Amino acid sequence: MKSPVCRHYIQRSNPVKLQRIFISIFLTLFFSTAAHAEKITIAAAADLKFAMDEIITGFKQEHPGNELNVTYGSSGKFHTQIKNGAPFDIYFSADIAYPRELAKAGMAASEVKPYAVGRIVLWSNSLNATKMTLANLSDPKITKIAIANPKHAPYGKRAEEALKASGLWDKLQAKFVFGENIAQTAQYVQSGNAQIGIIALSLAVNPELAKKGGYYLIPDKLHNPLEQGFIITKLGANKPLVKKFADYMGSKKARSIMTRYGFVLPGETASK
Amino acid sequence: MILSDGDLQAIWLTLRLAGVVTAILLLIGTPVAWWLAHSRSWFKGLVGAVVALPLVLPPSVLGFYLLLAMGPNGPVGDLTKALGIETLPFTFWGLVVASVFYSFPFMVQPLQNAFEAIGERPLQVAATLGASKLDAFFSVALPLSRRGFMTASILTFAHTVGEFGVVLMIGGNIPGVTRVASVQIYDHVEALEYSQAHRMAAIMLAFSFLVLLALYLWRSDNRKRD
Amino acid sequence: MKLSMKVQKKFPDFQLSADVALSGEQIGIFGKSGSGKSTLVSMLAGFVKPDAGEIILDGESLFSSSQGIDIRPEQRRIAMVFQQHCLFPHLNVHNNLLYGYKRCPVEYRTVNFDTLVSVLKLDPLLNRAVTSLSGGEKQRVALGRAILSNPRLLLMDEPLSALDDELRFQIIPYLKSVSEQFGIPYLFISHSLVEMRLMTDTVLALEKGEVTACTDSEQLARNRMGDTPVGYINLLKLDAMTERQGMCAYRWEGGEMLLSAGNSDTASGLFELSSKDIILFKRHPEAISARNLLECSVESMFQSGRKLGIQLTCGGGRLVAEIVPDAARELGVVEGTTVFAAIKASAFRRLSKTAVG
Repeated sequence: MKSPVCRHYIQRSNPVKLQRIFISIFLTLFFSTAAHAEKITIAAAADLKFAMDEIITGFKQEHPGNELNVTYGSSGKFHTQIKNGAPFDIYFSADIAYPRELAKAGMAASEVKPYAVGRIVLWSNSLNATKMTLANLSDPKITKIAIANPKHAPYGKRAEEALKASGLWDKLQAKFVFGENIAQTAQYVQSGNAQIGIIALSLAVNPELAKKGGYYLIPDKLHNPLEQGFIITKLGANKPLVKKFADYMGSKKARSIMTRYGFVLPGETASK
Repeated sequence: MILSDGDLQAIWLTLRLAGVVTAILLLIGTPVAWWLAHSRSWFKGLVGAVVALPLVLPPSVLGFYLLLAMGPNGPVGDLTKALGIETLPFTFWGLVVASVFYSFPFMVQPLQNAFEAIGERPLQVAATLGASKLDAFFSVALPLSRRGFMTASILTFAHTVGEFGVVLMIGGNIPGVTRVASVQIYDHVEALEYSQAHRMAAIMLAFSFLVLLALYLWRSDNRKRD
Repeated sequence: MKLSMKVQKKFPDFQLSADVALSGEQIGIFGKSGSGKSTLVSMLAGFVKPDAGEIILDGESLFSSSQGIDIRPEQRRIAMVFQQHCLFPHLNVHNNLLYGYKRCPVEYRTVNFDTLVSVLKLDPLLNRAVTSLSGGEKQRVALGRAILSNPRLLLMDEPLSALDDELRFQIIPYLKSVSEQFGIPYLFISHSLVEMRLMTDTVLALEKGEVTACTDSEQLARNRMGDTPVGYINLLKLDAMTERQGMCAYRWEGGEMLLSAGNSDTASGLFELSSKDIILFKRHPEAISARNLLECSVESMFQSGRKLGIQLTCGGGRLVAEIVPDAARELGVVEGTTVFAAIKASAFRRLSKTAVG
């Protein structure tokens, strides 16, 4: 700092003092942004795609400068991954049984909180599902029915239960095609490869699918309730932002988004 | 019973699929490999690149686009409808078609290498001795490229057995029709049935290893004789 | 055999253009590598298509760009023997031999299998695997295979170049006798003038894609004498060797030749002597170190480059010597004059233990 320029304008001021000023300003800025810049990783069930995206956008508006990474996929897969140390801070499962199992195994840093009740619907973009019931699936014109794999997909299990309760499960065996998760199931129907499918209500009301076809809400007395819940994992335990996000899920804003996307909030009933 | 009926059914289906695909690719792949080995036209490089494409395409990507193409709204679907047969997704033959695409380079490339290794000269000699192109192929090229055929067949078979992403996208996981071994194992894992998954995986692994071992022993044996 | 080739083909680095009419049974194509001889022969066999032209063999048009004729190689009945034998490794000798025979229409089969096998001495090899044969054996089998396909023309593309001298000159008699015995004409390609002279009558010389000469092989060798560093190679058949004073005395049709002990350990053979190694004297020299001195008469003289070739007759034998024109003038060498030729005992080189040609 002994350049001629300095000497011109900063006559006689101590260069070392100047250095100290710069450093302290820099450090203040650094720590102030550091104090706010948090990053959390969310694992969310596939059927939450549209709803969760909007919730996160809303959350970011209230808590700017943070990074929220969300991965959508099958609840079962997330359960296995988290059990084996996957770096998710918070886990939303379409079947509350999975987070309950993790909590029992001591891997949860919070209580298991229900966030919605899943409903299943009949959906098609080539047939008019609004005028149909499960019995219509026997129609010989329907050759392929898509459902999620009941072995491990929560929505698939409920579909199987509903069809068994209606006495249709055995009769329709030859027509089933199984999607690995509810998103793939919807894709089979969307691409026309299956004429109709049993998918999540939350997917059917999404504008993308809603504009292509209507749905029939399958009565929930035909199957076990599909309670959906979340937990904060051990990894996310000490991150303040995670706690804030978990709380945000209970806020009025988040709840209205969930309802709008077809999720029945715990304790309420489905509209339509 | 080490494996359940469902598991055995899945393994048997896998072997059938791999066998059919290998047989079909032997018929289709041989002329393509021959052309690539001997052609001097300018678009040989283009064809070679297209043939090699499945090597670098993520299988689920290939599967997804095949699903759209073979479905009722896609070009292949239109073709099958015009021929009066049902659309290909969720059928055994749909898997065959997809696997033929996906395993194509595994058949063509070893064959192409084997044909190139023979070179032009033996075929020219055969021609001067009165052999037509087809005759020369069967009496000279084929015997001299036996090893290439073995390698190509084994690789194609093994590759089809191990296929997962493509089958997952267009199979629909129908037991006895499209529920192949790789998907069955995956389902066991998804359903947290780990011991069954381990058992099936171990048997598939042992089988594949033995097949490959036999191949490589046979090859090195042959090499000594040369 | 009558062959007419009028062809043109353009390559990135040179242009092949030939217009020749050949007739004979044993014809040669001579040239350096890159001169186009292999391409010419490939066109004849049908592997390379000329840009334009005509190829007519014994009256049949094999290729004609104007008439759109291009007969496939397998239908031309022209067999080839290559520098690398190219036997089929997956067949044994017997099956290799029969490969072409089986594919020859019955009406054309004139060559008898057993006769050929005995002529080429292939009996002991019949059940052997191709990979176990020596180079010379492989070429004999390749030759046999080609002959057994009953071709109307045999093309040989440098079939001897990969063999050592001894083997080369052993096989040459086979090549010639097989062709004569079974009546199959051949086209013989080589870059060796000596092979040409032993194998062919007429030679086509190619240089950079153009025909530069079409003469008999002897004449070709004389024409090239002045241009090559080795001069004209005299080929001498020598036999009845006796040892004398530490040297080898051979009987030659022109008398006797003394060769130094180093290169002569057989009773007979084919030897080469360069025209450059013959020194001429006008009068009988009194005493010289060279052990061979022959009295010869000048049969004829020819110009070759900047040298003069002197065809000498020495008793029953003939030799060609080369001298500069000045020397000829000085010595007064003209047709009919007598000269003395001096040859050192060490100037000879043995080509083969068997006397060929």
